[in-house]
Amino acid sequence: MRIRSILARLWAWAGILLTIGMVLFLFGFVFWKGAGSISLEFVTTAPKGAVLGMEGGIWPAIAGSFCFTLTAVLLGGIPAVAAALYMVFYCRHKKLQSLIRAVIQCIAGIPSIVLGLFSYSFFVRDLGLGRCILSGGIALAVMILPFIEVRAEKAFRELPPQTIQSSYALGCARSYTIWHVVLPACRGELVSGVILGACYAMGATAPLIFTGAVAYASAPTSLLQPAMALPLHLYLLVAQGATSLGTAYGTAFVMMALILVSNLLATLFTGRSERHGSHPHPARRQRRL
Amino acid sequence: MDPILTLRGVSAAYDGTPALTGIDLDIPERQITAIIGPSGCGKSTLLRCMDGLLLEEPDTSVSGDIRLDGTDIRSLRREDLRRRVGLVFQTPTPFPFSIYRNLTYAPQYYGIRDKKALDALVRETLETVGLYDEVKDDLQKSARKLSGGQQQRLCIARALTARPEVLLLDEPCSALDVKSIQVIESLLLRLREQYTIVIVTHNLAQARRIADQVVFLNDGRLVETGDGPSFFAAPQQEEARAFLSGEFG
Repeated sequence: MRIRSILARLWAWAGILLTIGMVLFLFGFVFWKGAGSISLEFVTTAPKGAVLGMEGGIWPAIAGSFCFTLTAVLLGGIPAVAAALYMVFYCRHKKLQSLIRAVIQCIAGIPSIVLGLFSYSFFVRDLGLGRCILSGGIALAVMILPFIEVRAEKAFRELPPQTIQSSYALGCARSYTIWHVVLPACRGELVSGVILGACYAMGATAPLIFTGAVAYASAPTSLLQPAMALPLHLYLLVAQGATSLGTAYGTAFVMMALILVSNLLATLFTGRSERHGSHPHPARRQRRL
Repeated sequence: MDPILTLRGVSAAYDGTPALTGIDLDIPERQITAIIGPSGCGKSTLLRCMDGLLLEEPDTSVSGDIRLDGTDIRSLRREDLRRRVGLVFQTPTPFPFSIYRNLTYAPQYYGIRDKKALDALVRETLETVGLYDEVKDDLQKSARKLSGGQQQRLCIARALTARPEVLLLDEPCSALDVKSIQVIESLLLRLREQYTIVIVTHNLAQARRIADQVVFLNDGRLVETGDGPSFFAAPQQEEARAFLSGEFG
């Protein structure tokens, strides 16, 4: 028995060490390799060189990625939160709820390249939007919608039911309760869900290849222009071989730094709302409120 | 004294399982009515019938006639009914905002925007529940940082900000210490002068201390009602006698 418990403990520790080790190694490796390319010039100028990207910076890709991500968060986040509100506060029919949940899971299961192809054929070609930030942003929005919806729905369901009933008991309407109790009380979780969704969008390449991201463009000025994006730029730099490997690591460095900071922000927001006690005793009751 | 709430043949069921059957009851105005009975006998269900909150829960049904001041409550908008009949829950449930925001929440919904009027209302309701001196310098403090007893008094104050006629309390003291219970009981006795109070309690001594009218439920049936002193001195029904003597409960 004793040996078994020691083995179990060893296994748990090994798992933790391996996970932490892998993450630290990954970040350390990229930061070490990329640190040489990083300078103020690298993040503020456009790529240059005989083979594009060999020299110069990645500013248009950073700006482009921000535009894609912001479009995705606006177009995906708002319907995601609305869907979660509907599921928790308005939907009375269990069958309809299961249907909506199945659809959302289905969207989550669509390979991102298929989303890219769909957006390409529908928005880029049929609707004539062309390759632009909007077409790419829509593909990313569909991709992150289930991601944000699931987190928002979980946050709403974990609010103590009596907090919401207290508002009804004061005679306040459901819509007032949602705007003035539910959303403020879940703000931390919602913001962190949106930030994590944004990270997910920022790292995605496949939905953008056909729809909006290009090998070279200046920093975007309109949603109807194509733009550069960090992950595609990274892919192209690596594909060019040894000549651009330095700037490739630099690009990876910037991307990972952005994602790391965003994740830290997300954790901070969740932690803050927990301290403020929006969910002091999560009532694990899966039901309509 | 005229009843403000009258219930006739009220029954309720969860998922088809009856929780209350055929309740006939009058709630007299500006008195404290205590609903007592063993756990699971339908006390809270009866309370939630009175403000229509039961209907918000899925798979519940309520039948029978409930009248507030002579008006069938089903003909009232749910929001209007709940404004007139306030409810305080068993565990204190302040909103996760400041004390001030907790108390301006309902008044703002009812259209009071003027800062001075809101300030006055906050002060008045806090004074009514005897909390003003304790928190007057910390109105922006999170309500969740108050002690349990303070939170419950804040919840009563919050219910009062909607200017109800009837105040329903669902075991408001069950999560509190003895001192907080005393404070809340004396508060209820003061509130009786302005409001009709219906309190569910499992604490017989509490019912004895504050109730003008006692309602004894068992198994979803109303077994006996009577004025406080005479009910406790000489219950008429065998079940009530057995309950008071502690044979079940």
